[in-house]
Amino acid sequence: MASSEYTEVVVEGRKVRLRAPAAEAIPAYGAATRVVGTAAQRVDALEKVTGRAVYPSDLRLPGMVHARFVRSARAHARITSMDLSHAEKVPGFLAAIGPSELSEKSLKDMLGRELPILTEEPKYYGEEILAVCAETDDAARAAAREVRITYETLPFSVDPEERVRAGQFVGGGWTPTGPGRPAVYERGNVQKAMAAANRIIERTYRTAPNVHSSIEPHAAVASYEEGRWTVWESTQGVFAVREELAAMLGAPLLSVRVIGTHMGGGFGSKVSAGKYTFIAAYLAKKLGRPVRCVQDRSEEFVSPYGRPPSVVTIKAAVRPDGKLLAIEQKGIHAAGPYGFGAEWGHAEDMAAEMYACDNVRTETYAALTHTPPPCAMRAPGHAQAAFSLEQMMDEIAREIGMDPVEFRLKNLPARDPVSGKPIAVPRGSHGLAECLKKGGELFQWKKRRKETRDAPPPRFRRGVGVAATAWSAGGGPPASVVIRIHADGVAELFAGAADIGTGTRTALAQIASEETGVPVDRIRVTNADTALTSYCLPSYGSLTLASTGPAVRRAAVACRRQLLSIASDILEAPEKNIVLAGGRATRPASRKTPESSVPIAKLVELSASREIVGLGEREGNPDMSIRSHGAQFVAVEVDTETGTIEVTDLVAVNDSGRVINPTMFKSQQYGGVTMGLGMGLTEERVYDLETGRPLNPNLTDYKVPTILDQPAAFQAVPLEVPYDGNNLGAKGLGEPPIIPTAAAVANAVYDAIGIRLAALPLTPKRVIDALHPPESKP
Amino acid sequence: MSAPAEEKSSFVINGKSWSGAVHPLKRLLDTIREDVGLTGTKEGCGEGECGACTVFLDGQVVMSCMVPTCQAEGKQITTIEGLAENGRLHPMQESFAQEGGAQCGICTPGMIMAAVAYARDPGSAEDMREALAGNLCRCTGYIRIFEAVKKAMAK
Ligand code: FES
Ligand code: FES
Repeated sequence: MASSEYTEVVVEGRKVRLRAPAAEAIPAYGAATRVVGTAAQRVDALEKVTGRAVYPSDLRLPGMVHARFVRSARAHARITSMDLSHAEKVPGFLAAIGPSELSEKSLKDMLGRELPILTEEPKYYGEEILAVCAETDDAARAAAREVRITYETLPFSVDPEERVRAGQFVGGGWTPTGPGRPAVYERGNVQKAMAAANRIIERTYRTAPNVHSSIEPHAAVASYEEGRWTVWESTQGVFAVREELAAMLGAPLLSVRVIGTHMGGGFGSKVSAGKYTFIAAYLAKKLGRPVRCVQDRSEEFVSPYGRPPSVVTIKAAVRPDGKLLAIEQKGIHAAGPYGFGAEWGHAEDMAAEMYACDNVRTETYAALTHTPPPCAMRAPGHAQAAFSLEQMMDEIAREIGMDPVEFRLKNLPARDPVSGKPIAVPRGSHGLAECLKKGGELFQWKKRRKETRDAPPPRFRRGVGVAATAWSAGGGPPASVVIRIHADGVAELFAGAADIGTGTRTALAQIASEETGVPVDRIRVTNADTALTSYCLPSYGSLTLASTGPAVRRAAVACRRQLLSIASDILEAPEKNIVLAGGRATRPASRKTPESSVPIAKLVELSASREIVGLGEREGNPDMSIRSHGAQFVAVEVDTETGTIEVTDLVAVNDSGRVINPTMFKSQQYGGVTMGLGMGLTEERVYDLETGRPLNPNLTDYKVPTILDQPAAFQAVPLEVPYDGNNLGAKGLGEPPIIPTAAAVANAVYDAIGIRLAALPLTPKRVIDALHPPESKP
Repeated sequence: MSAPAEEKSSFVINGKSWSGAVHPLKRLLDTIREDVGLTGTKEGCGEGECGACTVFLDGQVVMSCMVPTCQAEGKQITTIEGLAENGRLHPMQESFAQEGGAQCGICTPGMIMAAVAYARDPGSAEDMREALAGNLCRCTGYIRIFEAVKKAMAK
């Protein structure tokens, strides 16, 4: 595949189009693969089930000390005094750092907006004011508690709509707009289209603030020796952390080594260096001792992480035959007080991209609320947007008497409506169409839809719903990979990518094994270590496999060629007749000669270099809109007396091109959908409007799904719609499964009770209030 | 503030006696991780909400973040590191590995401990869910975990 992807950059004021490096084409996989596509056991499964896997929060270095934050007890205040005298008396106390010492230091978001590390004027409850350090973690906590702070309380608001009314907002899109101006996207002429249409539907939807709630909290351990830092960080991207940390420390890149081999979940919240990272590194140098800075669970609810809440008003016009004519959307989301991370609440992309529609206008307001700055959380923006868009699709379909599946099929775009690029559509089939059809069949959509429609209204009402998703998931450069095969036949694979629980390490080993013939269990994967692996992007945006995987294949093919060349001499057969598999090079039996084979170890031993080395770089993508697609069908049972919604059946179908490992693929589907069920039914960070404090900063009251919350019937179905935009044929899957879930459930609830629930989470109270509106209650 | 008074504490952990000086109210979780040096037992919340710190205390499932070390005095503790016998994985560990029950793996040790406890006195599928309901996992959606436990039970 020719590399035709360009990146536009500005060099000394000049716009330059950079081409991805040209690379020799690697043929697509043949009809049958031996290792790719199998349910290989995870390469780190044994470490994980035995407790041997060491996570950053587990690390104990000799002489290590502990840092903790002192956080604001006000949602907005000026600090009038800080008294450290009691804290300093805590046995084991070592140091405290205040805002004045770090006044120049800040984190930066993708658009360069800044977030101070420590502050004298906290703008949200829990904002970091001081860091203290002590010999033990208990002592550090005690010292943090003993710091006495007095505040002058300032006015605050945690309500995004109120902030927008007060003019306190920035644009929430991918290009900064400056204060007081929304981000606007427009194509066609929405006003004209709406004026001409006779069917217009408008509704306002609300999604709740969610918190990532990775089971391993944010954690860093840093040591400083001879002018160099080593940082063990629970992160999705060691190179991003290295760059950011080096910049904050004012140190050369190579003076910072970041290691993130095992990490206990991220979901978007561990893409960048955190305040805790900087504090650990800064104190490590200052004290000359390793420093551990790990957050408590309650801190996870007040630090700069989470999916911001949104209020989306969507209006759509449709022709009676089901053609979407116009979409207008106004979105407001909370962006915290600094606008830092505002782009992660942008719920407008999906409305603009998902369906073919000539007239679209969106406006996004990122409200400057006194709440923690948002960050990317699994399918940022899209998960919020789907709740409104996919309910709107359902509502319109019902309005014009069309099956919601057919209505969607009718409005599928052949080109990306925003970029105008063709959508990678293989052999005339559209990934989303395939997902909708397959899911509909498995779920028996048509039949069940009819059943529920005809059912009488007893206490328990049943309903079915569907929702769909598309997510740009082509991956891409940069990613480079090195494979070394040693003289004992063991291969080492070096890749910068983090394995955030998705199985990256295993998938990469499978890809390497396929080409080299080295069995998966003889491949040692070294990943996510800036000193040992070459550069790659963080594991976010569902790009890891589709970015690094093709680079691995390229490196493996380079090794394969060397192995085949030696094998061909030894086995006296042309290279094309030799099979590399199971740790051996084999020439199959022919009519004249019996089978003969030689161990790969032997080939390496005989090679001139005594080690086979392959380097692979990720090629560019075709100039297309590359999307992963998915559809979800759910059945619910609503108890009209208690308001509980039970999801009884769920079918999730996802097309992300080639499946490298079906078990891991399905695990992504199960995990993503489950997080979607949490978003849909139970998860909400609740703020006290009087104080701006989160009321449920713990895992008892912030309800992530447990094993009891699973649908009785839950099917995850991979659909391999062929894709040839990279040498693997694989696209990303991390994010798509969470996107449509809440909307699918809400659509099913509508089907059950005839009421559209417009605010998340869909709690029993909301159901009861909808069935018996408060004013009509006796 | 006076210095925290450390006292001698002794217990048997994974079949080996251990004694050392720790504050009697130090969380057993921290004693295991910091003093004994076994970090397979994880901390996900420190508040009894997530189950990542699950261990056995005299055979009973406890969340070690909620147990002061003095309560373990003279008792038997089993952690994830103590499940394998004679170098052979416990069937539950084997099954979690084979079935893909571990993703990021941070909840896995606690989840396996809870599952092993359930397996000693198993009931229905619903009971199995109840037994694991105190262990949170943010990655798997629990499906592969459920399958792993079922498979281990069938062994
Ligand atoms: S760490 Fe003990 S229950 Fe979460
Ligand atoms: S595997 Fe990641 S939390 Fe369970």
